[in-house]
Amino acid sequence: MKITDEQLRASLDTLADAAVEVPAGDTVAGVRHKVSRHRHERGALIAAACTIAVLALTIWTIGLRSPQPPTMPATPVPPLPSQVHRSASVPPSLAAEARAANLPLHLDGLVLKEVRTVPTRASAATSFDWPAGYGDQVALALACTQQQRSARAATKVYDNRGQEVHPDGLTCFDPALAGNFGADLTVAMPPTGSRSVRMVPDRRVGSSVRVGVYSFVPWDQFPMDRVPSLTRTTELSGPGVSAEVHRGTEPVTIRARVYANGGTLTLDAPRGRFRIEVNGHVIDPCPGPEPSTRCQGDLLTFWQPTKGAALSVVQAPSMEGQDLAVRVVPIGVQGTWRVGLDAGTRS
Amino acid sequence: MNDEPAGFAEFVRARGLALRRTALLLTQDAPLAEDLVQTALAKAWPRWSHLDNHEAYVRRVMVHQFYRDRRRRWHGETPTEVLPEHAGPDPSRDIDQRDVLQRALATLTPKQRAVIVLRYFHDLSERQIADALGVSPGTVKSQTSRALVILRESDHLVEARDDAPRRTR
Repeated sequence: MKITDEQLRASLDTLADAAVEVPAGDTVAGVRHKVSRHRHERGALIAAACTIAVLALTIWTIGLRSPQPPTMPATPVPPLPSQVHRSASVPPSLAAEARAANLPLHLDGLVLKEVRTVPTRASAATSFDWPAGYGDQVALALACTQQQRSARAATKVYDNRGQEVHPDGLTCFDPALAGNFGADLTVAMPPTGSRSVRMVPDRRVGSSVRVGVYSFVPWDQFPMDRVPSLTRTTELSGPGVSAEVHRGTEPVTIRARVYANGGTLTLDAPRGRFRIEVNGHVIDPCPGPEPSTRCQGDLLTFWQPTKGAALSVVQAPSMEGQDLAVRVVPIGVQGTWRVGLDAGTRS
Repeated sequence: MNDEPAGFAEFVRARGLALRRTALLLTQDAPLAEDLVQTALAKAWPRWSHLDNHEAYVRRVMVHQFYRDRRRRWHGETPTEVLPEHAGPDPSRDIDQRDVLQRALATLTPKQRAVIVLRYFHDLSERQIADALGVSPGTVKSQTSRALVILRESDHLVEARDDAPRRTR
């Protein structure tokens, strides 16, 4: 069965005859309404597009102004010479200021941004702020002079809520009294996100102190070989210490019955990171209230080769004879590292 | 809104029914046909004074709008309600035939219906249809071919074929 073209044409013509007559005025009115509505919708669309464009521009601008968070590669690698050159290229004037103040240009994953002079005044604190471009975390360092060490005087640092940043302030201990804990400089870290502090140096340290403001730099841009060691060292060997030497990234587990005067894990390591697990639980290597350049998340980070880094792994110091399985997991550690666990003695 | 183009109302008065006939074949629904005509006229409104052939342009916009816009609710089978009254020598026979053809056309997709209307109602060539719809001549040819196969196999049309009137346009 087949319908011819002529039949189809005729059928269509018949069907089209059903079209009804509509007054031209009604059609024109309908067209006028559609045109008006289209213009209104187009105006609204343009307004919405402008709003979105302004919002996008605002977000983009904010994104440009916000500092990028430091990045941590899974496996730390030595910085390339070009990166070292770039991150070490501080302005000559700042380098000179740092030399004069005996402040390092680089410090445990931090880079010096500026040097401030803070006068010692009888009752007033000196407040100063720093730009947002330094990032969310800065460190304030005070180079220790012999006069400061002898005086054991503290420079108090308060955050914007009036609370002390560090209970001891910036204090330089006398190496003769503090043994190996003597340091070349002392560091305080204001709370994350702070943009200002108030400082009150002790008058015994002189008419003023020079404070270095440091900010974090990404791991892969940090010139580690240039960093002076600031690690507080302890003796690794001693009674009750179980020490082992390892190489590479194989984790090690030390089992020991630990007493109240023990429980200190000691590490000698090249640069790299470690995760510490005690009885199957990852511990925070920096449990204190003060932030530390050493701890990023639950990882203990060594920005430079370190000897004798110590941390407590005891879960309940008052309990005698805890059986601990301390697992040390190196991450990205190149070379030989040494770990010891001081079990202490039965009291 | 007082910016009505010169001669617009006169054109609607003179050619409105012709446009509505095409629109009815496409939409198979009188209110939708009127809406389609008005939409095409509204699109032609801003450039009315620059057009050489107003009817050709509006018809092209209308068919293109129908062909492209798949979201329109005239997709698929159109309910066969009471058709408008039409005066003629044998009203009952015309109504029967319209009903039969309408049922057959309803089985076509909107794209197939558009090419059939342009080809067999407006007698446009494949090239002209392709230009009007913004597609290739090959697409027009394949759409036409499929549409004819569907119409020829349509029970509605086959049954009524022998009784269909032979009319000339």
